[in-house]
Amino acid sequence: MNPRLLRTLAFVVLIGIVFAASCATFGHVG
Amino acid sequence: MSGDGSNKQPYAPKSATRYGGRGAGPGRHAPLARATPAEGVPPKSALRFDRNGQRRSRFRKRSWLLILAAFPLVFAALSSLSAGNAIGMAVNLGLFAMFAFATFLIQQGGQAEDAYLDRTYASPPATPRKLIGSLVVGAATALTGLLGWEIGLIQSVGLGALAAGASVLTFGLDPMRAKGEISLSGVTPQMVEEAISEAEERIEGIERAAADITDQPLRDRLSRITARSRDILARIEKDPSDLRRARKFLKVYLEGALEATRKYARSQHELGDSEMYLKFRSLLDDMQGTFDDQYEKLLTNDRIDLDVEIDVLAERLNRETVLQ
Repeated sequence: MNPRLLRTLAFVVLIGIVFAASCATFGHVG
Repeated sequence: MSGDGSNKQPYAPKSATRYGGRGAGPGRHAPLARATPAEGVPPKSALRFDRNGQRRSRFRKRSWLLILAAFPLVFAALSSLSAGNAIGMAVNLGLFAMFAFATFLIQQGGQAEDAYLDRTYASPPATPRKLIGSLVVGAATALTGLLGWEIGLIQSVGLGALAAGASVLTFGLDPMRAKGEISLSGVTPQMVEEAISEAEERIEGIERAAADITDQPLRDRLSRITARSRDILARIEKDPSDLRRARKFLKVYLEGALEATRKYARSQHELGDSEMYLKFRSLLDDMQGTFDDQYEKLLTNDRIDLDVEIDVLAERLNRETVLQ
């Protein structure tokens, strides 16, 4: 796989996980 | 490096002096150290420069997005505060601070890596900041899952591990090995450092002697020669594979220029000899041409055919009356 594509996918996964966890925490509190 | 039992300071690569690592300490300021984009040469992907010639951080946008993704934790903290839950507020703020700290570490690691890539000879950074930052991202995600989202321990740990792995893939690992210590041409970092120090002393000697010369055109020629010499030194530091030949070149030419300049400066008022003036000027013109020529050869990585040129110039330096 293209290394750049892999890095981009990894970045998307990372941001997705962090954002989901943060939003879920906010939703849980709210 | 080699243990020769002397009292000399151990060699400290310039990347090590700022980012720690073996031999780190207050480093000497090296005016030659800055890598600048050469004209007409497209920069490599790892060597991106902005308009001011400063290296652009490769991770700035991505790392800021990481903080942005964690921002709902701040809103969660405010919600907790409005609900009167101080502990909840502290926990959420603490989690956000962990993400911010991880981002900071990753950015620092990126800068350290850029400094490492800049150099031909470099030690790896003392602490692998990018790796530690990625681990902190994983820990922060796991704790967010456990304390904020409340999804259970195993799921939190799994989520944290996934986030850490994704972070490592995104930002990469830190450089772990020193580069340039073992050279196929047998050139060591200490040899480079010594050659450059010697040459720099000679260049400064020429500049001091040139300051005593009253004739402006001669001073201009000498300043061009010293500027070109510094270009050559910068080139050698970037790519020391031709050090042996370049060192001999610098030693003979710079030594010759230094001696000639000192003697001319001492005797310029005594004799008022126009023939001596013309010979010295002609010598400087030829040296300037040869320096420019050698610098071009270094840039294009041609082998420097020094032996003949050095012999010719050495003979000429001996022959010229200015050296007698």
